[in-house]
Amino acid sequence: MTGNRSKSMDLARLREIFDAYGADPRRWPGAERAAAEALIANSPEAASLREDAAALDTLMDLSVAPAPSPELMARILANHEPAGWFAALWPFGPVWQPVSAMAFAAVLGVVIGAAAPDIVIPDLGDSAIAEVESLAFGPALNLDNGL
Amino acid sequence: MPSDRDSERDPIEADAALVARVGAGDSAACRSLMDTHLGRIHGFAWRMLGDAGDAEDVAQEAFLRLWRQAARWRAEARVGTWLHRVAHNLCVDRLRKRRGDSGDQPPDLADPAPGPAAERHRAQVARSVEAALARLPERQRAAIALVHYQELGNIEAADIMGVSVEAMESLLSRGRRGLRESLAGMRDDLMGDMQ
Repeated sequence: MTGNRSKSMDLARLREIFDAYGADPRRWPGAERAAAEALIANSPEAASLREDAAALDTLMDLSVAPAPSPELMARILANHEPAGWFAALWPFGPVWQPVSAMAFAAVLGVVIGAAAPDIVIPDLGDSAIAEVESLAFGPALNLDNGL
Repeated sequence: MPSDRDSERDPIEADAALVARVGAGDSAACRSLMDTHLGRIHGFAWRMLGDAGDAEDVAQEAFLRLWRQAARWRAEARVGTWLHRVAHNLCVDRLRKRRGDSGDQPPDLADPAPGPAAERHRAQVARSVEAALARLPERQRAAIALVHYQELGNIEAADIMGVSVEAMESLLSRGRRGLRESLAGMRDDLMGDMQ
């Protein structure tokens, strides 16, 4: 048990500790434990308050949580897959998820590639290319005419 | 002589080494972690939910998340703290869903098993304690489960619930006061029985 703050220990603070943490010093804030125990040792009133808190602790401790079933451990272990190099790259969930996604993408690529029509680039010839360039950039200058 | 900071780091580093083995596929490391933490995480979930089946579901999910996280685990917290935090969040989600479904009715608790009269009486009181815990507001129940039953320190418990240490102490005080009031009738009766 731990606790960082260090308050001055008096009966009022001790009562707060009992109210919150009960009578067992193991549950008290670590920084206040020694001072609390010293006060209890020297104050009959503090000891009485502690007995009151201990009575509630005793009632609470009658409730014992059941143990998990043996099947639970087996189920959890069964879900631990030995990690390979891929699991180190994909620690976000079952490895089959990204593997399936990549396999699907690969198959889809092959199918699309096989089904697509062949693309034939027609031979336009020099005159057609010159016409397209003329439309795009304007008529070419002819320096041979002395302009 | 190691400093306090070193003594806090060592268990975190030791946990990280164990989790790294889980990430590398070491089943023995999984078993070791379950031996240490499964009963406690299941117990915490049972305190929160009041149902052993739901508690098993939460414990299983918390560990599966640890397996998934193992390969990229960073040595920043104890495994037990991390598991409690995950289990706490899963329990809170389930309790919210229950509230949506049925108006936050406390779970039905099993009848105590038949047996000798004194044993039967203690079992009845234990069920009454559990019923009183189940009637507490969720955050007070979580605070008491973490500090009283799980025996975690107030700082660690506050960290798990995402509250300040002062708020944790307030939740504990209000929770224990609620229990005290619920169980007032049977306290003297039982204490007399046990003496």
